[in-house]
Amino acid sequence: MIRYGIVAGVLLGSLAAFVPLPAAADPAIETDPWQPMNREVFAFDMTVDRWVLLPVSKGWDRISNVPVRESVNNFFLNLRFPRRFVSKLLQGRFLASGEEVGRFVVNTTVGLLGFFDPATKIGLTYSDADFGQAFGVWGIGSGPYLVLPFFGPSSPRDTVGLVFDSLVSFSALGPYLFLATPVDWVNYRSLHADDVAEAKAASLDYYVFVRNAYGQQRYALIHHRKAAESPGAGVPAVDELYELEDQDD
Amino acid sequence: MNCMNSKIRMIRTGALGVCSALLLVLGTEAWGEGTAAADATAEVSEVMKQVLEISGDQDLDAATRRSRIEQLAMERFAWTTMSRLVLARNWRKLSDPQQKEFVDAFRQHLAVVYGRRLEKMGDETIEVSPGRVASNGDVTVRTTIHGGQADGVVIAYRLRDTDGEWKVIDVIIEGVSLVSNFRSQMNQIANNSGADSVIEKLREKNEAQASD
Repeated sequence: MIRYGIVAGVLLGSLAAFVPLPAAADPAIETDPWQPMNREVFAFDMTVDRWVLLPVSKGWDRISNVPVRESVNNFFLNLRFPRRFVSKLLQGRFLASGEEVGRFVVNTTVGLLGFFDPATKIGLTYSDADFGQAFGVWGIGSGPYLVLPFFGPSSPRDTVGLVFDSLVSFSALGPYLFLATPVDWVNYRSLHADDVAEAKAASLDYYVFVRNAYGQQRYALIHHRKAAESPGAGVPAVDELYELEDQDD
Repeated sequence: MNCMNSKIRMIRTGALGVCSALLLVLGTEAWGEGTAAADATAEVSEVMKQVLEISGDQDLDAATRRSRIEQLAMERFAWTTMSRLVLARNWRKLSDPQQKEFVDAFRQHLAVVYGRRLEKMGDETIEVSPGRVASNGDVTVRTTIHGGQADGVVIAYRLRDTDGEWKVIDVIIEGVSLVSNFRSQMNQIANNSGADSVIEKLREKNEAQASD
């Protein structure tokens, strides 16, 4: 769940990094019937980002370098193994959950507690998974777009997923979760500072930018997962997006 | 060696150029794709090669690099098609001169944004996977960045045969389609304050960027 943390991360950042195929935006997310409330919560998240997360992450930026930040990020990715493992089991992806175990064992030992990622080098590549995604794979719709305080873009389905994600993380880490989460967020924000700045510069309405990016990513994670995991499987059809409204001129 | 891989690798040294070109043909045929996919893939490979050449050219200053990459984007994107896709039903609500104004403003906006992203490339290599043909004849070509800060990032390009040339109509960065994303934003702006206000909004943004 940490990956949806504060709006920022959603952008061209690593939430999507493992969903490499073109996506269609989820219509349920796009309609956004709760927009007035969502915009207010979004503004709150942006304020928290501006006055707390960003300043702290800039401080972290000064005393660390990119390899350190990437190692710290690897460490937290490894720490979230239980959530991915359970989610993949729930999706019936037994091979993928087995690979999660493999990644965890290799990275925790050879990768020195997860700070390094030798598993990727031996072909066990990372792919994210969470409860909300599993619910989606089961056929449960997302419901309307919902911006959460602190956690950023979500939906009723993914909020329930977030609760389960947190419970799994808590059962693995105990109270250390509350120590780990802020450190993870600060590090993550620092790693993606440029992405966020660029996304803000590139968007005409940043709220809509984030909503659409979130919708596309979740849609791809649920509907195009198979294709995303095996590059040879082809590009899913999202051809409606590319139809011109009037062909006559 | 890399050449045996079914994917095409473009290495900055260019030493594998011939090998890549050969693979392009063999590789795509082996995948059972038609010439459309091969042509579009070749187009993307060529553009990527130029991007890496420009961004890796130590003799150029940052401003020249940026303007060259912008120039490349200008030539290789189907701007009118992209604009129409982005505006969808709002396109028809604009007059002819307004449509032209929109295309210009959108082109300027995207060239700057996209140029900024590309000019940051350093020692990366870009892997270009054989394209896939969609039912309407468009071809989607996936590229994967290796090395550098964007290691593993996947950028897909959707191309359309435009007057005999393959032109980019969408850039899908990490699964997020620019066309879909901008359409959503434009729709919101048009719904709130009218279709023609999207032009104004783009211009404001471009002015803000110019003053950076």
